[in-house]
Amino acid sequence: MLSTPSLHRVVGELYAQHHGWVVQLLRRKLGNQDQALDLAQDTFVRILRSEQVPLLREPRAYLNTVASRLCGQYFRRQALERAYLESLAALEPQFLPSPETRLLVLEALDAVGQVLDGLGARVREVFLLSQLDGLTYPQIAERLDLSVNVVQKAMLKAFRHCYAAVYEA
Amino acid sequence: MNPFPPLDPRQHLDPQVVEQAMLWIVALQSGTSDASEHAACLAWRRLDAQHELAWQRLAGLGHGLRESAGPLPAAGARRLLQARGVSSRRNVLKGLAGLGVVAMGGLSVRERLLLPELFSDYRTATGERRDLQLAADVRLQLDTHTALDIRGDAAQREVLLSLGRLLLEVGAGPPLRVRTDDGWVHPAPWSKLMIGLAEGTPSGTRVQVLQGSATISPRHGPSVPLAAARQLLFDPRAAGRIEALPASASAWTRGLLIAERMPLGQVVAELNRYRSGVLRCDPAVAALPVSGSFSLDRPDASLDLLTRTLPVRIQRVLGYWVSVVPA
Repeated sequence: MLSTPSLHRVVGELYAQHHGWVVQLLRRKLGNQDQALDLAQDTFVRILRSEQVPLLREPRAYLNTVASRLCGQYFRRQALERAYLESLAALEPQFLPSPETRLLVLEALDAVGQVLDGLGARVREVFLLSQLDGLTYPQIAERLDLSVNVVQKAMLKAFRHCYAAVYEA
Repeated sequence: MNPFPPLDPRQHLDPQVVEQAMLWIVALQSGTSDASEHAACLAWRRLDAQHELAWQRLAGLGHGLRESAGPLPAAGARRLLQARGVSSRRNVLKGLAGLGVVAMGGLSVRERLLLPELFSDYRTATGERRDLQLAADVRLQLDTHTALDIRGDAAQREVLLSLGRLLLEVGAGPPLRVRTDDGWVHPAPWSKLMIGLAEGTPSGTRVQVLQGSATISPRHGPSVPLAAARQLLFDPRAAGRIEALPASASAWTRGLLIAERMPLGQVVAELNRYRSGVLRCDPAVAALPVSGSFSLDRPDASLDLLTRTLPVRIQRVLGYWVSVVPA
């Protein structure tokens, strides 16, 4: 691994040569200049934080990968916010959480979502029913019309995935 | 805010140990394990510090998940997380267009780090009752003039009750206990119980089990088990006699006081807890037996109700100082 000053220099060069291109790429995906600028910034910050100097033979392919991943996270976050806003729309005004609380809820759920990313919908549902709702495996099996054995396998898969996401990232 | 703070992140664990810990946690969380499996798992955890750390990390994942759901009901948090998983740009844009707003989008990483922690103290005012979903498997109702703090970690959650009374419902999550100045109450999974601080004489912590069971551990005395439909009062030295729980004990959770030949003095004292100002009962009528149901949310109306059936009248001075006196 190169030393940190060198990482800064490499990312600095990447930034100088390709920042405009990344913004363009993101604007096509997002359809919004401000968001594109924000996520382009996040793309370079992400590379700086990874503390691994990227191979520069195909810098744009690499930047594309990082930017697209951020873009995907951004869309998922938007979907979460939308679902959350919809759920709040059903509430009486006096029960509406404060903007600060809403933001904290979204942040926390989004962080959880990032850890769960990559799990299939069914494995995720099994895991959430167990961990959030506190259902037993036989209860989950009945609810989702699965065998207890399948529920157990899904739980193992989810634990492996989450452990790797938090401890082997 | 990171709901999954890595536990001792520098420590690398043998993948085989982690895999074994996963088998244990899956076996124990299945809901079909028995006491011998729990004991065997505990023995495995104690065998090696790596075992324990692997266990704690995995238990912490589930805890982080529940914490992140925060005040949301489990089904709501689950639906939101599933909605996040199936995003597509078209859906998002459609949804946002429908709402006409883009709320809270695009915060930078730097701004995200500056957000404050979720508050952890809860309090009710006089006359207020409040529901709280602490985690997916922990529901609380705070009675009037109640204060509590949330303490503990993934392995041992703790509710510190410093004032008032609460109704606690627990599911099958990590262990949770309630602490007062007198000691600890450990509810069994799937239990429903009321814990309150009794002022006056005798004073102490009153525990009333509606469903399931609990273990009571006075600060300096031996622990005692308490079954459903039983109650006791304990102080730091010992637990008192176990008594049958009156059917009306949980009426307050529905905003009611149900009296069955209850001395008037006690009825007035109960209403007083829900009412700001001074409320007292003349000793000359304090022993009169009262039967009936009274609203705790409207204590003054309840006082007026008393005058209809008992030889008493309500003396009000400026509406603030109120006495129940002989008619």
